[in-house]
Amino acid sequence: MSQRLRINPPQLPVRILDWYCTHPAVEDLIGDMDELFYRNIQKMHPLKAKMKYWGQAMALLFSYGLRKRKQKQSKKGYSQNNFAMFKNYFKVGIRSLAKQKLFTILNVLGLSIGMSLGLLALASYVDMLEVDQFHEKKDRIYRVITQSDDLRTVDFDFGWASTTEALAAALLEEAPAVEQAVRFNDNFNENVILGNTEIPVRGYYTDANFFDVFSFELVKGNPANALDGPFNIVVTENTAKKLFGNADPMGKLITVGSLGNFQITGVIREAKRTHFLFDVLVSFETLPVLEQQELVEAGLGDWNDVVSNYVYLLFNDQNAAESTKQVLDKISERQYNDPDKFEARFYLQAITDISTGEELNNDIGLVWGFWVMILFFFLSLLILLPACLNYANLSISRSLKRAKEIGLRKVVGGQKQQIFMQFIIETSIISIISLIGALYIFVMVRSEFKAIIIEGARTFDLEITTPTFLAFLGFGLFTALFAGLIPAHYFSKLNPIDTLRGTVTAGSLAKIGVRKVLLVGQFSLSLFFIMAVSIMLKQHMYALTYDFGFTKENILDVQLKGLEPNLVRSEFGRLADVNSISFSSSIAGSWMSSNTFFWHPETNDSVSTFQMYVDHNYIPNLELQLLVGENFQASVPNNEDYIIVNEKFLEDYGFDSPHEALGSTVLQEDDSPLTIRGVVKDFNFMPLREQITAFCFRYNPQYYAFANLKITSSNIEETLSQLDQTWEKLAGDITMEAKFLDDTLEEALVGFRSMVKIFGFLGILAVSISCLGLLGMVVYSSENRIKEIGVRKVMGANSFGLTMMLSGGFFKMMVIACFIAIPIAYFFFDLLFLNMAYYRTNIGIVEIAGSTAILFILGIATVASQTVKAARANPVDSLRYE
Amino acid sequence: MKGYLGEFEELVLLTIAVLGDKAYGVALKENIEERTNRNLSIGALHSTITRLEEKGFVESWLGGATNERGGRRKRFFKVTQTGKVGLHNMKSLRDELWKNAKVELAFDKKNQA
Repeated sequence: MSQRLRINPPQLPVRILDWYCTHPAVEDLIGDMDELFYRNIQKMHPLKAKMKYWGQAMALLFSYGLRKRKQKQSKKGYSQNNFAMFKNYFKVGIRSLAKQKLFTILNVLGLSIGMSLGLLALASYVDMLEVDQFHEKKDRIYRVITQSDDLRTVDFDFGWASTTEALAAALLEEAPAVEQAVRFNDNFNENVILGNTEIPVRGYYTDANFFDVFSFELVKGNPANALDGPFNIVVTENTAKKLFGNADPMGKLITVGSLGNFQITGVIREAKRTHFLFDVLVSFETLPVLEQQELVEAGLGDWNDVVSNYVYLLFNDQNAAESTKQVLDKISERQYNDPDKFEARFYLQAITDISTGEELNNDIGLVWGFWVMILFFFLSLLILLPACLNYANLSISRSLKRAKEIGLRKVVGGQKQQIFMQFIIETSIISIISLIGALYIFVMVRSEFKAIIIEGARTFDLEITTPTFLAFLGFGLFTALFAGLIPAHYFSKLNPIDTLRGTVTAGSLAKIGVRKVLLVGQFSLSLFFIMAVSIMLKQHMYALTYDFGFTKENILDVQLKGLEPNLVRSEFGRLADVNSISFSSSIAGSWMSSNTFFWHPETNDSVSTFQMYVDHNYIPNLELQLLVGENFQASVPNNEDYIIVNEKFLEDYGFDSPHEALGSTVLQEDDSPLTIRGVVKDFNFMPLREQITAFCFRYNPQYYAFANLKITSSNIEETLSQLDQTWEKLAGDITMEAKFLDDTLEEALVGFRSMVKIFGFLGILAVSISCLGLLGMVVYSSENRIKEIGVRKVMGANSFGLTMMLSGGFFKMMVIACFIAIPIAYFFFDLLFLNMAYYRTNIGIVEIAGSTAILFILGIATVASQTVKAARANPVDSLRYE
Repeated sequence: MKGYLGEFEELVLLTIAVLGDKAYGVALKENIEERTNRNLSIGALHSTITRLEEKGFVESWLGGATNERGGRRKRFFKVTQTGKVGLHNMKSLRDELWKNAKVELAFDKKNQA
């Protein structure tokens, strides 16, 4: 019998019940089952008793009683995480952080850096969510967007934010749900000439019901009729201040460029959180008048022009979008019934979706875009993740020191969940401290960030408001959970017997090499960013020193602003420092939009050709190379009939040699003939991003916009002031605007400089985090091996050998990181450059070697700072510890 | 129905009363099995007790650690005042029905068997 009593009930059902309902809740039930089992075992075969036990357990598992107990327990919570315990965790957390100063500092620094980018992303996102939320009727305002399919060109399926102006009238008539339609035209980009100043203003032509639909605040003027009638203009408060200072602008007349006089009928309060971006609003009724005078092209009433105008709709009901979409489909089917021609389909987009929505062409104001935001958050996580893993890694590395505390807690009754909670709270303390650090970094880089997204400064003020602050706090706690999960799990699972006996082996992370993978990953990331910076810098240098095919030094481009070119030539020509003067319609090497098509009668094909109007001095002035033929002639009446083309044009058009082309007549699309007078060597008339395409010079003084002065001067300031004086004689109050050609070309590279800044910032973040992580690893690994080092020293090892031994592993990891990061960076930028610049530099050995060297210097310095110290330590000190 | 006492519930409640301060899972199970000659699972028993607890007829507490069942504690049950009222109601309902029965319910067990 005594033998039989030793047979124990099966363990598995007990475990299942314990797991299902936690042990304390089912203790009495299991007790009952055990008691029955021991009774049964005296009456029947043990196997049968065990079967019965199983049966009882299963019956219990699905019983009403157990379910209720589980429910009750989840409601009340058996665990003892009440306020007193939280207080205790908090206190212990603070003490342990204070005790392990190095650990705390490393982690706070790491997490601060890691979180800073996330804060930037969050603040931007919160700001963006606010965009256009202030409109009272925001639920009913929609914008018509357009999907065009121009079958005449190869470009198809273009999504436009704009649409055809004719749609507004059609919708008002056919769609019953459309209460109001507001048209916009965003081509108002002019200079206001006021007394002796000239102020650039941008804005929209828009309908009189603008203030009815959108909730912009009119400080002065009557919203009902401010934009009623042609040549009425509403200005923002800032613009009013720029134009008139503190004087009342109402009713004043302003002269706008060549468009005529406008009367100010209102002052609008600056609205930050909107996707509209304007200094002024001009009544839409102005457009037909201007179009009639041929001063602007607005595409009014043109169903095939979907790029000039925008249409916003106000529905009488929130749910009218669907029915209106059907009307839109009907209109689109009716209007674009010729399958071979232009085709467009219309869609609706809620106003509140615009700022976060998909990217569309020709957007009206500032749109951040969904994918940009995703990328931003992805980058934030990419930086945050290593910081969090560092924390996890370091926490577990020091588990040897912490284990005894955990063991004791468990022995006196601490539950797994409680230990878990304790570490999450400890991580939260660290992460909240880090949040302060991250905020500091955030405030420091905020203005720089705003500068990179130039237009964004209006929408993104990135102020820390209540919602932003709450988002930050939430982010801090998220980080705490993220970083604390692994160590909390690890510590909560520690076996109390092992910990008290002191036989805890180093963390599980270390065993499976996750730690190494982590460090290698971090180094790869850092190396990637370092390489990015060096590659970008190289491309920047390349672009600066690139031979565009013309001379860019000492050419001063002066805006003509309507002055007579001949007058400018004779007046400026008198100055001693001005060598020669030419005129052009645009600036070489910058964006050019003027193009024309030349018709080839035989191939029945047309050649798209960019054009630039210049005078006879332009080619020698910019030192362009004329391959064959001759330049335009001074003072000949028929210069307009000739063109000078580039080599690419010959190729596109089908001439075999420059000589063949010389003297040939080519037809423009409107059948006007032009004779090729000369051929210039290909040069980069567009920024380096663009491939050289067919191009021609034409001659027509009417289109000249710039005077190109070649200057040789020993004192540039004085020359400029002389020019200024001469200009004043000619133009009176209008200010001279001039820029050196090489400066213009350099400004075109602003994108690269932004990239350098962004990658530089990311690089600094990534490198700091990796170095901090590395430092932590080295500190703890040398600490854990302190006795080994002592023994080795006693046995005769020298400091140098020991340093090498301690550093070797880390060195290996850095080498692996290089093998990972270099190919990835190489291919990534190779691909990226395809889109960013047609004329580009190669990624050379210098960048790769340089970046790698930077990484190694930083890494080795970090490692050596600790290992040298450890290797030099007196073995007596380390061994006496025993 | 709140306060309604099912047949088995009444049985369990009365058995708890019968066992007094020794009413815990196994004792209840064996007592009921003995009296009614039917097999009970712990799950069914505890489900019923849980229902009784929810109705407020029974209260329970954990006893001290025991030796005979792996140190696991027993949960003891006691009939509450509400429980007593419930039993009384049930009994008076029965008595009334018995008293008013038109058919003679009393009979000689020995003769019938």
